Amino acid sequence: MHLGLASHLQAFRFPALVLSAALLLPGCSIWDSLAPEEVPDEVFGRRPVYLDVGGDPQSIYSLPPRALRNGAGIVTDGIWLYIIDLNTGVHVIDNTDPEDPISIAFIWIPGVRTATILDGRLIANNLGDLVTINIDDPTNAQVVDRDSGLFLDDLNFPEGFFGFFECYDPSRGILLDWEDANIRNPKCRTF
Amino acid sequence: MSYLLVAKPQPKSPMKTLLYLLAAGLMIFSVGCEGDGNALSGTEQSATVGSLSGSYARLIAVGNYLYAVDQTDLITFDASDRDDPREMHRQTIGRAVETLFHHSGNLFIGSREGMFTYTIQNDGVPQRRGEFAYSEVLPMAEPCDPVVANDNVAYATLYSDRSVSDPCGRTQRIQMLVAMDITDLDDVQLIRTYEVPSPRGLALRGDLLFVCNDASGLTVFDVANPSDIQMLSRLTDMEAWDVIAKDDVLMVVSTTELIQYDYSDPSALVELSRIPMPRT
Repeated sequence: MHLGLASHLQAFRFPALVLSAALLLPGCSIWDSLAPEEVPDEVFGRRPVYLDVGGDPQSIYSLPPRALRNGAGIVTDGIWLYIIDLNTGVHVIDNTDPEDPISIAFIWIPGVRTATILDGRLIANNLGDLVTINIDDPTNAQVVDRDSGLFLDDLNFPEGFFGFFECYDPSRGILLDWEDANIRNPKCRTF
Repeated sequence: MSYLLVAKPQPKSPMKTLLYLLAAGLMIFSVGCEGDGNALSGTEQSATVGSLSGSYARLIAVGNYLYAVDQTDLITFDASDRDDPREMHRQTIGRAVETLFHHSGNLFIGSREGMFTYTIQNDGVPQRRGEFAYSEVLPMAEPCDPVVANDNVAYATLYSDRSVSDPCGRTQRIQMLVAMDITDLDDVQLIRTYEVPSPRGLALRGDLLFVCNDASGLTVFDVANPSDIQMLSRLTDMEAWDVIAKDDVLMVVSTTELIQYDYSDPSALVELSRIPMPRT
């Protein structure tokens, strides 16, 4: 793939889609940037909430078990359960006994939205990339393969909101969510 | 307001241009919804499937292949080397694609516009078969729509927070379960729609259909007769976002909990465990 596009996607596109997923809102179809004469001084609208991944957005590693914050999906391959925590990672649970499931690890995957298991490997999106993760030892996850810029999701606007919004600026981080706010000189709008 | 008229699209890529055109052409249907996607297929457990996913999945493994959807495309990966999956095929599905489900060599893809059917060919590449446009049942809305299926019937939950005005001026929230006849994948037909509170992820296992109702809990239906499904039970002491039905264990995930049930008596699910994570 063209590297330019790949990096563009990774930084710019997939995160935006993730956000709207989090919101579960009714949606609109298109947005636009505004001509200078169209920009209002101050209006009620929406602005991006940026995800602080605390470092390299491509960094994937195991953490101790932690609370589920935004459960968005579930996968099982038998005795193991994997719970997708939207945007942040995957909880690995030993479900040998469904009456006593045990949380083993949390695998930090910035921007994760979907994941599956193939032959013991955890495969997930890391923002716009597809990553293959060796979880033979879930407490020591290791990325074994990365394919960049595969997910062309393009929702870098507040899906479901009609009105002015502060344009998403990929240089400020991963787009996690949108929040209501009084915004000044918004240069974007959905319609 | 005049800004509605003076906005000037500034496409940033051919893809975006295409989306603009599509969107413009479809504005009349553009009251939509956004669902997060992880359509799992709790129902799927053929020998070729190593893992089961909830109905909001956007990435699934079938045999040695991986299938993924993004907003517009269906992507096939050759994963015969599990440590080096490679993209081998990509095709355009449509717009606002959300979920991906597999059953018996067929893929069922939910978008906000409708449900698309594909058959996986011998080379692993899915071939488009048919589709069911949700405009048939919801002329004004674009719902969120995880889908599950068995050999003959696909079920999708359609949900939108946005109230929709009907021709008589009344407004309604979209919360619908749609049963579709997929006996002929090339010609999907509506069987019937049902109203279900806040429908989200779902799972199908034999004649049982499990539908997550978000804050309203979870509902179990007997779907032996898809044109007249019967509610067997409803759980209300929990939230449910997505679900897998595996053997006799129902795995339900909400925003903050994992809850498992024994559903051997579908009219009275027995809670096995409930973990507000972590539990170590």
